[in-house]
Amino acid sequence: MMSVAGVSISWAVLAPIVALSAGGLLIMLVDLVSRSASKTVLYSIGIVSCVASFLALVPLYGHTETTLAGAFASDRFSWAFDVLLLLTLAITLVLSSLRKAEDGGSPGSYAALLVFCTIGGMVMAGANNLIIIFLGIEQLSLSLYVLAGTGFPREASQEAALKYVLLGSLASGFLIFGSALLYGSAGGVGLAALHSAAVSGGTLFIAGFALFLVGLAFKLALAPFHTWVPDVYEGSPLAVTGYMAVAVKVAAFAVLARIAYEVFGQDSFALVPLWSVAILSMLVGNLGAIRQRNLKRLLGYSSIAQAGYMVVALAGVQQSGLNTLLFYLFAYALTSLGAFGVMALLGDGTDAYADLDAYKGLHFRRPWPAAAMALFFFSLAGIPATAGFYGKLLLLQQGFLAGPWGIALAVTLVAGTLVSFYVYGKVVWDMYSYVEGEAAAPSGNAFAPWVAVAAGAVGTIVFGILPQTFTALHL
Amino acid sequence: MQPTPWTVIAIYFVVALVVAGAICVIPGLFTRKRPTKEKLEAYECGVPPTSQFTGRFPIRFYLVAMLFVVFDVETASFYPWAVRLRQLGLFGFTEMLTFIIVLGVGYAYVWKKGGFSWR
Repeated sequence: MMSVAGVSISWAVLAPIVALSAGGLLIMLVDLVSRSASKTVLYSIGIVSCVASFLALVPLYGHTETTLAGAFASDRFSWAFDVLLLLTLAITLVLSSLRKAEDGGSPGSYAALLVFCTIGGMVMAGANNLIIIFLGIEQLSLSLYVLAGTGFPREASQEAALKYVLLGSLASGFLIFGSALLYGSAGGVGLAALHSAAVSGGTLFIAGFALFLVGLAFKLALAPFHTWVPDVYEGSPLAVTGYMAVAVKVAAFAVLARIAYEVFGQDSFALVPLWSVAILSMLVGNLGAIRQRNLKRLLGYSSIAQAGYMVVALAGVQQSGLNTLLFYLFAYALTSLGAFGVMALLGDGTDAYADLDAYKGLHFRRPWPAAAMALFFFSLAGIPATAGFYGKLLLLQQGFLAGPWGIALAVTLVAGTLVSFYVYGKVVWDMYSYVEGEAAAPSGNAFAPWVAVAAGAVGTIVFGILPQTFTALHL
Repeated sequence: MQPTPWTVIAIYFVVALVVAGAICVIPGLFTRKRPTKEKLEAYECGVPPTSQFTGRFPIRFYLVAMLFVVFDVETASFYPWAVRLRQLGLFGFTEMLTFIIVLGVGYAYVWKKGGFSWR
């Protein structure tokens, strides 16, 4: 602990971020100095810095502290989010080992960007004032804009990057303008100052929060700010899409939850717009997924719906909601990464298995990947004995206890789930129905994606059958 | 009505809208439109335009502009530090050193990867 000009700095709290930053810089330096550094070396440095960051995180367990004049918080909440972000980064780096030279971009800049992106997410998880929130979001987004384009020999990847950067900058504009109005109404950028402004209300505060929410809803891909999702998910390289689907949601939900709990508190009327966009997301996400013939687009629509589900955890802003949100995020992350792992496994890191037609009769060619994919789809839909089912149970409980808006959210959740049974069930049906003489795309069998698939499958089953193991982790 | 600081801003908005709107609308009410080829051309400081606007031009222009902006903005953050150097003391100095090192890694990366060469 040291103090400069009246501002105390706790290095222990910042250590996980510093460790990861050092890892990112090291990747760049190694990429510079060594002409022949293989991508394995570079990705390994990324994974080692993940572990280093995690080790720096361990002593912070159960520790509550704010540092940098209250700008950055370390608590039970940010701890769990940081762990999830590091896990996502590690799995994504493993999946990325399938990248080939012709995919475009140097492996050094690719790995460094992934690391920097995660740092942005960790900053968001601990951000306790508007400036740090914006810094974190921008670091996350700017890295992702480039990552979306790292498959640039394919035109779809260029398209994804351009669409993402244009719409993302617009959202950032909303976010920063909203922050300015919030600052104007509260007279401070800290969430504590915003809390007193929220209690007294005022037009300026409402306008500021509305704009802020638009920006955040864009990052979360909540309808009606979701239009970028299908194209960006489809065009981005496979591993990046998986990372995007998980890490951005995790980080943005960290910000959203912190604001809901620290600024608004129970049953605040100002959160009604949030409930409305969540209801819309559940409908748009599930209905939009019906027509999709591309698995990346389908998972994109699925992620829109899942973001809507996760908002239900915040309904009524109950204290138990945080546990529900964490459980659902962990379940969603493992399931989603697992599904992208299967796609990477079959397509050998390419988009060969992004087309849903390739999955017809998959069981009779590749029984294990087909079983894993079915498991992940069951979890996304919420079939009993999967983590997704127990997560939805917790969400429903949260919703039904939270007044009229909570009940509306819970009812939409049930309706959306019913639609999603059809969406996911159809793919599983295709995988398990025998097709005669179909010329199927050849499927790969690299080792690396099995790591993601295994991690996802174990998590989905263990948290689904024995959810108390998650509670026992005391995240 | 009691004037608040916001009243001033509201007046400013109204005046800005009225003036800008008047400039756009009033000339159109009084002029006759007699377009000629010369009048419809893009105005390039009096020089006859040499090419169409809607062309493609090489990405290196963007690259140079972007790299310039990045490092230019970074140097802007030196000013507040320099003003408060004595108060920040050794800590401020080491912080800025770290900042420069991080910046230097990025600079070296761009340089080595050929970001500055006009290919």
